Amino acid sequence: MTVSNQKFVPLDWKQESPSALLDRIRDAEIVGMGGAGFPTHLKFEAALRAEHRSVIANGVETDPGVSADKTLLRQNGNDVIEGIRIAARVLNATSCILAVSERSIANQLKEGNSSDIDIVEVENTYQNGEERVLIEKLMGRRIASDVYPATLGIIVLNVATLFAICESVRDGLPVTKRLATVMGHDQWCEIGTPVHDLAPSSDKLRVGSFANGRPADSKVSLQPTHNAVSIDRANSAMPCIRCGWCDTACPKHLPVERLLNEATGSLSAPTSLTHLNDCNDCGACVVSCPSGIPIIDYIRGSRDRENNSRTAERRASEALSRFEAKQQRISTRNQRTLDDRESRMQQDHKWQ
Amino acid sequence: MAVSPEPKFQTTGIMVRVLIALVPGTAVAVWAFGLRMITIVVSAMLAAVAMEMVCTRSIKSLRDGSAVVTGILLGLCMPPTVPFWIVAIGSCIGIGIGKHIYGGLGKNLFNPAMVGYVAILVSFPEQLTHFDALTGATALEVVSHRGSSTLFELGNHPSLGLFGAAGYEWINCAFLLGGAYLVAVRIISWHMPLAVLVGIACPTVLFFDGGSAASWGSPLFHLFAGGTMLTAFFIATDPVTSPTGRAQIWVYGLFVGITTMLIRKYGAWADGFAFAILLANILLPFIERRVPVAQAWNR
Repeated sequence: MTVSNQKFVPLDWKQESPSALLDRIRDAEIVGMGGAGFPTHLKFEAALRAEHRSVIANGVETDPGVSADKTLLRQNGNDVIEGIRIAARVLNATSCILAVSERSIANQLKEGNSSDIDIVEVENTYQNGEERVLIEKLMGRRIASDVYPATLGIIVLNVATLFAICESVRDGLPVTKRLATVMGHDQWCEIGTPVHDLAPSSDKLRVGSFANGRPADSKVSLQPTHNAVSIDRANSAMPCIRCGWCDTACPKHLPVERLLNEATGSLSAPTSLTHLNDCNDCGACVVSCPSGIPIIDYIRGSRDRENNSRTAERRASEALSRFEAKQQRISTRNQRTLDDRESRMQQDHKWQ
Repeated sequence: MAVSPEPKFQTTGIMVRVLIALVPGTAVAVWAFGLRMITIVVSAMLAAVAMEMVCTRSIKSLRDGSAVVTGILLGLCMPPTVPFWIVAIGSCIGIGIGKHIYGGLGKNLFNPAMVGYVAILVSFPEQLTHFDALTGATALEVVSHRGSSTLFELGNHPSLGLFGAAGYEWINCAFLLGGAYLVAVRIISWHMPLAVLVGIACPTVLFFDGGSAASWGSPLFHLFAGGTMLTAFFIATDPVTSPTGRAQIWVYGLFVGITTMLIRKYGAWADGFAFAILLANILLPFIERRVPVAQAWNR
């Protein structure tokens, strides 16, 4: 953390106005670092319109084989807590909750911190780190999939995001690096590093966990949203034996196996777009698969394909309706010109 | 910090646990029918493995263990008197035509072991149906073709054991034990075996009137005769050729059980599980299309 890195003037957040803090968060271009990459200031602005506001710091990291957030909480737990206080000041929040998935971290953070922040230990089961699931666990509110929690005043921020908020406000530092789990080891990585330079020994990589990460080719570089770099196991996958464990594992109860077999072409039933769009990319199916099939790649593939073809259809029909409307306009105009001419000719006739 | 969680089992792990679960049944079969059973099971297994290697032209394809399991299951379906070369032919047909013609593991429409079994059952009826009195199929035949005599009059027939068919009742108990292990380690869910067993029990309970000439044989007898437990726990649960949805599993299992009973009672063959499984395999796409799977969350 050298001074030369500084881009902004450090702010004393206890004195500054909440709007100045929000401006700083926007200027530092902070995005959700848990994976979504949603601009954080937009989230704050959406929440500011709600009546009651609360901040949830999401330290529940349940991605298999990823421990970056846990390490961040161990190493820089107090910075994260300061980030929570900054967020609470921006929002004038009534409650702050820090959810962690390990008791030792919870105990470590509880020491020496006043009780303005609830530090809650959440069971370390897969999916508990998902925004809506976490809200349901902590507040008992079930939020429908088409409602954005921030509009209800509930802001869920990843601990890495809160750390970035703290650094940008308190120290004036932009987001230039993040803690990521690279092949099982947590390390600070410069954002923008080519992924293959981080793990040169392996040629097949994924950004994100092996469960729900995306395959990374040589052009992919580390983004603020990437919490892990792991080995791609797609090549060692064995055939699907239709055991149906993915169906059991799916927290959304989607017919995963059917979707997979439709994507690979061994089942010809039409894919249901509702099912594909209900999938929230958690990757539980990949973890459960005894054959090690990267199911999520297929599901993403067919979802993109379906959505693209539907977009193409929609665009085509829109173009058609525009074209027809234009034809209509042209013919009306021509008709009007003809009518005008007709009437003028009749008037001329009168004059003669 | 290095954490590398694995799936609860790899495919190989599933097959290994299935093999463990088959051990008690195989041991009791050897105890009941002698060492001939070992020859039969081993020749079936070796033929299956050889055919798998021929079809895939690689030795790596064996690592999932599915060929070994297919071969052993086929061997365990055999009566003890059958010559080993017939079993080997069955294994080759099962692996070759039942599995690899469709594209190998995961793509086969029919249970390979049952394809092989039925192929040799219809090709070598002499060797596969006429054997000594110590076997379940004979007991099934005795019960099925007893004419006008009541079950009570059959009471002392040498082919009937304590509560099932002599010999086969203990084999079935052992397969029940192995199947319970599979359920306990969560390789299979309890729904499929229960559905098959209920499918077998229902008609027998309905048509069992205490043992008159028209009676079907006691439910207990049918549950512990022939290949009942082997079918319920090891053959119907083959993941590739069985459905995955809860309701679909029940439809499939009940169909297998009831069809087995219908063939036992009215069919030309003493035991009907192989045909029942193949018929259910034929119906599988229909079941999967017509019987709904779980609904999505939030909807």
